[in-house]
Amino acid sequence: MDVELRILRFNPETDEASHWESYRIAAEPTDPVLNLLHHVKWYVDGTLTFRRSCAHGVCGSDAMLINGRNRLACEYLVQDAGSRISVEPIRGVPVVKDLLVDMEPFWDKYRSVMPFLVNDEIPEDGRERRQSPEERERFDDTTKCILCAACTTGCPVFWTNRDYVGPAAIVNAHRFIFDSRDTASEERLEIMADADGVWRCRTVFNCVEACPKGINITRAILEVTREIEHRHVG
Amino acid sequence: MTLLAGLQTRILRYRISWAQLAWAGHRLSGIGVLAFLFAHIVETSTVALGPGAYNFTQGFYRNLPARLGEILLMAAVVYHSLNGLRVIVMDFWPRTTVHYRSLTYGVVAATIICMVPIGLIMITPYAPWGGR
Repeated sequence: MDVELRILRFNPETDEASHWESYRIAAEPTDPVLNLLHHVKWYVDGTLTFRRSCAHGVCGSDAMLINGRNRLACEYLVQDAGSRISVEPIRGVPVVKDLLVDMEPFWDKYRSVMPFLVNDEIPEDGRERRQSPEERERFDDTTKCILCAACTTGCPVFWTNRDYVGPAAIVNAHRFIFDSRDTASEERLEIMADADGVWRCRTVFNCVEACPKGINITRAILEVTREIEHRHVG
Repeated sequence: MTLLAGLQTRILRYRISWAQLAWAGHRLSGIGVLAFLFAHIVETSTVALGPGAYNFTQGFYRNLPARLGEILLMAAVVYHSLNGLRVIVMDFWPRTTVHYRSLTYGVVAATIICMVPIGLIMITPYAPWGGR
């Protein structure tokens, strides 16, 4: 099928502002949008810049604003996108060039929640920290995060308040707060109870709609707020 | 893309979902009700200036456009209340977020169902069947 692909382009060396460029491409309905971007880069304009790695929805590097909603370019198929497709960089983070954004502000938020297991105690049997299936189930949903930033950069609160820690960081805090093996949940809840933590969420659900892994992000955020209230943190 | 989705993408740069619309509606209805509350305080405080001044300000409400505004105000109050309950339910029982789309549609439907009889009662004095 014939597809009109519109890309919001920006070259910091020549452009003062971003502008749209259109390309006509013959594509299969089962092609992911990433294939169209590859076609432009490899056969039309080699200067087109974007980030992608595995191209199979695992690494999370190609989150883009496609047809007005954050998605992974490698997962979103032409048959779902239609014959007119617009592609923009994700919002709320600085654009470096074309679809390539500076992810450092996103990583800063991610690092702020200590996204790693904290436990200096020696396990009971001296070898491993055991966990029941029920204890593991408690945070199963939030282990699926691939850090693509589709949720955080699709959140209207994040667009207007860059200090907001954002859905992705809260999801990754949730993953360890409810892990029975972790010993730093109080510390993480203190971070989450900050003015720019979980309380900024307005249950808009853009994050849930954008998540390519189907994580119920708003539920995770609300579970963290409930935990803050239960433990009287902050 | 549908025409509506295309327009949203071009003008608003992000496609609006029902949940996002519900949030924007909650904000707008809240601001609207608050604005009326301030106007209402000013208007009722004219009672301190005597019956003439009070009757004069009350006269602003006795016409069709003002009544339509009051119906809109009522719709804002009903919607804001019902949507507030939806948010409270999700806050207390995070599991219910799984049904956020149904809950949002439910709030919109309940607002419309409530506003049909309320609107009819409120518009009757100005309607042909109202006898005015």
